[in-house]
Amino acid sequence: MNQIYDVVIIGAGMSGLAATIRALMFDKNVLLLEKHSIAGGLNSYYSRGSRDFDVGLHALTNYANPKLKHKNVNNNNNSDNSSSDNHSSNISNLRANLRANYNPNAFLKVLRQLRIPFDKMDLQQQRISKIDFAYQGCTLKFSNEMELLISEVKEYFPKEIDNFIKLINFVVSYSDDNLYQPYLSAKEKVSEIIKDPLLLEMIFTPLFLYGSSWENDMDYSQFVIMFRSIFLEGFSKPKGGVRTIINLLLSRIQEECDKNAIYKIEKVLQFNKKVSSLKLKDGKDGKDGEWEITLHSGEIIQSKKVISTIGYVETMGLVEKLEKEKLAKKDSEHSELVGNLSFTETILILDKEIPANYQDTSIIFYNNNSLNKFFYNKPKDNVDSNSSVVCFPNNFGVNSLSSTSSSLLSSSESMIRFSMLANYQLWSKYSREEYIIEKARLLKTSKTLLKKLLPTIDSGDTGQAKIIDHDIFTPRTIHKYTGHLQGSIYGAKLKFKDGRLPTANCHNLFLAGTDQGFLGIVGALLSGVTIANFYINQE
Amino acid sequence: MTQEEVRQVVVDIIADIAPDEDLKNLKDDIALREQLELDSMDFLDIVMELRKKYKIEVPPEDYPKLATLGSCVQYLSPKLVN
Repeated sequence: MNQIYDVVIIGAGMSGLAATIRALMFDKNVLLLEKHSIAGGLNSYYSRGSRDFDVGLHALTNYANPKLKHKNVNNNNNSDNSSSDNHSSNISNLRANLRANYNPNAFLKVLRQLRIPFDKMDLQQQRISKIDFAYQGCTLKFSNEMELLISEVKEYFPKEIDNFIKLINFVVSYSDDNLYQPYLSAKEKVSEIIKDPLLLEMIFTPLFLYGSSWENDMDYSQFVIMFRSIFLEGFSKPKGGVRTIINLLLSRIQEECDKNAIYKIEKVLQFNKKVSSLKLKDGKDGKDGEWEITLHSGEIIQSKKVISTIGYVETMGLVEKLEKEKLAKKDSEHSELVGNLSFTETILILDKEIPANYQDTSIIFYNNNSLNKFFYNKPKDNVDSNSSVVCFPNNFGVNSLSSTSSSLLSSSESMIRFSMLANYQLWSKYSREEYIIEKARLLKTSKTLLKKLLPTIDSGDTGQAKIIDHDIFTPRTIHKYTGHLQGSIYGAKLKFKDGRLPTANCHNLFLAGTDQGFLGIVGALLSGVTIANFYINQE
Repeated sequence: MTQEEVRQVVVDIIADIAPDEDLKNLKDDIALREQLELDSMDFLDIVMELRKKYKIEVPPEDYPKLATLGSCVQYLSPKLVN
């Protein structure tokens, strides 16, 4: 009964599920271990009372429609010919560059590798999202049609429109083939093109919030990837939320198991299995042997290869068998290796639909700071109440009067989610009483922001929507359920893009997921697929 | 298998891998990569499916022989005798 697996994958988040599907497709004897009782990792779900909630997913980036290739290119040339000023000719050159060089397909590629038909994702596109710098009174709107953001920049930053188009051309032409490019400050690089400091901050705000593991900056190649995936491709969301994605991945695992009588899904995918240590055994002739994976229960598993999705330092903690305190100390020694950025999330449930005049907005990237700056860093207080990502899950898909665009709630209710930058250390040290008090304070902060953004809600006026329920989670919750140190959601500042650990004695141990460096749900799936493709068949 | 059947084997595999592509008007003498949005990851999946469904091993040095539908038929026909 002492079987040796071909590969053990640690963590049933998006990257672990994707890697498992690929391993099964390669006919490998694979075991996926998850410490929690359900799949999803940082993008998961839960129910409270009769309501279903999503964790993580606000929206998927990299929207692409297989039926509309080059969807961002407006083939209607009327606008090109109607005016011959400089901007229009720049814009038509940009269209030509997009047509020739840009083919958004990361998302379709990953679905294809996982054999998930696009239509099964049941995606609803965003309506409009806003970058709202409240103090400056400046809002830029964008949608999945890039023309909107261009016209917004033209209107509010007329002096910068040529620079902005130049930036898009740069982003389109950038080659991201080389995984080993040295880190480069995106802020420095982009400020060579965009001169207006306010526009610069506004462009960076959604990119930071949806995928930077650095504070107040990001690596230039990550900037390019994020700019493409958000501004050139855009947002969408499965109608059923994150459950749709997880269920599709799980049923693909089931399908692959069904093809081979040896595999049973309950053997391949095991929940409530927490790994406590990883040890590389000595093999014959001085070569490395198998990995020995010890679980908290004492159970010992052997495998030729291990793919860990739990983070770099978290994985090294298992290899080096570090005690909790020592690991915490390692955190502070390795600021490059443990992510500093975590978030709280406040979910408000309204008894009615979102008021009609606010139904056009899917996501607001809100910032209220007098300094023409968005501070993307760990706040001094437990949350940064000056900024937030506000997501309206009901405001996706075609807006029609009778639409109930999110199937998570009963038709008459709606939901608003507020994500705020948070300080893990503060949240983690509160006593139970303090924690309850601070959560109540966060609820109040979120309601104050709601009043600013949607003044009519909960105003007491008859007929207006009221808040009937709420839920909050904090960096402490994220740490508890995902095991990510400091409740970090984008992982460490340093990334290991080829999935190799730069440490001795890590032969046949590979990283996928956040610390591999492809971020977001699409990124995580791509991470699992590429690491599996690359290493699982390698001798 | 007839040449037509071998061709169909390859087209079916591609249809499996890339369900969103239109495969009706594929030309036999033009590289598949130029007609479809297939990348190297997809080609590896074609090789994988040949192994899984027909027990045919395609070593990496033979990958160029899968470039067009025509060359696929030529290369695979002797291997797909049944």
